[in-house]
Amino acid sequence: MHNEWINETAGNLHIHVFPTKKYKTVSVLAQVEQPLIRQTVTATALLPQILVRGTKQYPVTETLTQAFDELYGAGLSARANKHGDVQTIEFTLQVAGEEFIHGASGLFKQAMQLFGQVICEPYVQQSGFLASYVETEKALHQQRIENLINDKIAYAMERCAQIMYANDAYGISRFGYVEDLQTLTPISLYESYQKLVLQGSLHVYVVGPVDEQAVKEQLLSVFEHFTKHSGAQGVTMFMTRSVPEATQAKYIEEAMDVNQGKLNMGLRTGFAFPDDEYAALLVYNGILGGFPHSKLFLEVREKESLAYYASSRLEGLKGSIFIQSGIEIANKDRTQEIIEKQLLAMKRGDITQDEMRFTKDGLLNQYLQSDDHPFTGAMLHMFGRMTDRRRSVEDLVRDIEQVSMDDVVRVAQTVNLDTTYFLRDKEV
Amino acid sequence: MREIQYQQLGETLFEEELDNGLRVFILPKPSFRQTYACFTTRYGSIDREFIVPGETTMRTVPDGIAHFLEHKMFEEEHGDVFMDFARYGAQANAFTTFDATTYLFSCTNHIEENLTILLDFVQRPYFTDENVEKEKGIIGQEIRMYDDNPNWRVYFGLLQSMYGQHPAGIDIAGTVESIAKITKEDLYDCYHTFYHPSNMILFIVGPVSPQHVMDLVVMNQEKKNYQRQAAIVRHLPDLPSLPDHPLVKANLAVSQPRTLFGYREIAITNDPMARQKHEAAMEIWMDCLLGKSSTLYQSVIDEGLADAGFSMDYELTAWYGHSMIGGNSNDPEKLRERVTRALEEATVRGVDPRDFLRTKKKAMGRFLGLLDSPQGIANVYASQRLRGVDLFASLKILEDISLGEVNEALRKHVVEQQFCVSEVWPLS
Repeated sequence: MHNEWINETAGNLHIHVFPTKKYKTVSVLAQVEQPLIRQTVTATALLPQILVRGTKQYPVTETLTQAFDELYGAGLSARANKHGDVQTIEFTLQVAGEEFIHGASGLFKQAMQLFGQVICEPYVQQSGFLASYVETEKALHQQRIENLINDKIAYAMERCAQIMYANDAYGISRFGYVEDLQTLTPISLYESYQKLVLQGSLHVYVVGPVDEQAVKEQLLSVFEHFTKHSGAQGVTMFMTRSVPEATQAKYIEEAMDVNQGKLNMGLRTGFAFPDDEYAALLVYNGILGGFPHSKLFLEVREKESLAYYASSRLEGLKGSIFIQSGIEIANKDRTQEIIEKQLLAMKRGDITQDEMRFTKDGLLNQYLQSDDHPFTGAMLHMFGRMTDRRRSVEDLVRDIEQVSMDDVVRVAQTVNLDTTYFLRDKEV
Repeated sequence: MREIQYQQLGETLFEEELDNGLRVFILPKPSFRQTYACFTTRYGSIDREFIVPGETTMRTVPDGIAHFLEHKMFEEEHGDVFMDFARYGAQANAFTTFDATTYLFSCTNHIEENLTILLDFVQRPYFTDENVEKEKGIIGQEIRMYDDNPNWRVYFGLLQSMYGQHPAGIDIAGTVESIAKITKEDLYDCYHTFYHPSNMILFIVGPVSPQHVMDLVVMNQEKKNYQRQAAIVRHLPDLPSLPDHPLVKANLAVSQPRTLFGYREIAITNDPMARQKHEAAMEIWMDCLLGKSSTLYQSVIDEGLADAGFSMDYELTAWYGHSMIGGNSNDPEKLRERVTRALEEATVRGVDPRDFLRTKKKAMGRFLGLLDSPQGIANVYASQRLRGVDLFASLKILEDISLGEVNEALRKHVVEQQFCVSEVWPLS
């Protein structure tokens, strides 16, 4: 019922519009992509911070922000992100629907123009970004990288993935590296910007109460630059697969002054987003640790009272699963043993009909609900581009419905524990 | 059933107070896929002194008991409530704040079954000595998790600074020591005092037929034969007239100091309408003077005193209120000096009229964004309604608010004697 995306390509510009009265605000996502590699990761992570500092028309940050606020608080965000082996810069804009505010006609058009300026017409001096902006943002970015240790749950998860993917693009930190930051200059960053943004492909998604034809015309005009170039490379070729290896599982322990221990485990599986088995992999992860009815929650939390959270998360693009829990430090061995027992139970097919049914229904509920979020379609479209396998919410729902117990057990045979990471206190 | 149309917003709300006192609100969202329901009681962590129905003297219960009770409601004689929701494909959760406890689910199917589960499990307590003991380990780990979280620590540090041992300064989850004292008898007493339908609100949003859902709720409630309950007698000690101690410091394994500071509100009122207007006025001047488009925001960032996470918040209830300002900072003291100086200057010269108009427009646009999130509307509406406030009146209040009211709120709030500070520092 929901396949109403209107797509159009002009040169390197790809427009995707979804007109709907469902929302009272219009959401826009504009995205550029490149392979995640050490040489460019840090510059790319820094670029969005610099781009929101000023444009040709509004060189002063404060004035630029005020211009967005003036448009009934049109919300701008720009951030670098990591999806599998791909690094993206994602610009988003959220604007109030014109019909809901008196005297707001023309609002979307004005907001789009401003948004376009942030992406296409940054403030430049002598073929580089403004030196003072670059200096401030470099210092802030260094702190952002160093602050990764502050959130222990996120930090332990990130460390587990880094260790597991030490020799793989996916192990590269999404913020980049402090030592690489030092080498970046206003001119080198502007060159990175030209290469990544101006010479790349731009995908723009618009969802909300808009007129299709008017939006298309506006996008073609605001992003005219991209329509004049073509031939930018897609990102499909850069995705690598996570092939289970029969190597020895790694165990890494790190110490910090913490109250609670964080036990994380990284698993490799034989399948990922582009495979026919992907739906079975979703169900596998759901039974293991995706829900409050899952094995990890029941065994670690409900039966043994060892943790407040114990769950698993599927990284679909890589085909890996990450388990996480926060526990009393002295209970590490016991928790680890219980978790490994659950992995074994999955392999043996020790799964009840209820676990199967609850998990499939839970996943269906999640995917159908995700349709109430304006960017779900955009995310799936992006995954499709990255993996060369297109899937809509409807496709996923149908595929999940068809997963059988045998499919899940078959997936389970390809799952191997790769890395166990434990963040603990410092021994006195 | 009363039908209230909010024409400008394009929303219609259905409302009814049942014979047993339960207030039911239904907001149809025909084009959304999910139905989200929350069942909220006006009972939170600050309610630690009260008279149990049938008794005559005040009782004081251990800190953290409202949150403990929330956890324990999910266990029934027949088993785990999460399983009941899983059977019908719903996702369920709950949370406890200072003055409310909320139980919720979202689903895309089996709405009647899931709504019945929600109403029934919250209205059917089942506590045993054994299941109470078991929960202490789980909540103990939840507390430990927060102990390691700098955001939570700096937030609670500020509340401690403001309120000391007053319930408004006590952690919602209590401490490992306080929850150790909780018994099943305590839980039943709290339950019977605060979970009567007349102390609760049910809010449902989604693609539902209002009459059909209302009929279901009415029938469900009639079967339970609730008798009208007298008004709850609760005692909240008077707030100390001055902050408990001006500065609270903690040390954690973090890479950078973090600080929050703010003023306790003096303008506390019992009139909900006055509170809602006051809150709007507070939010407007705070955004004008400290928000992302303010001169101060950009200058503290450029001077290296804050990062993009620098933000502010304001909370007002019938019992207490306060502002909170801050974020990560390499020099918390200098940041504080800059901010307080700017605020004191502003109390003299007032908010710039252009900033006022722009910020007002921004607040109106942002309000529409909330209406696109079923979960957002339901949670905010229910918690505000229990405080006597109508969320949907917000847009009108924003339209009507004057610069004079905003300046008055500012002058009344920025009072040096009510200033409090919390800091979290890296371990040396």
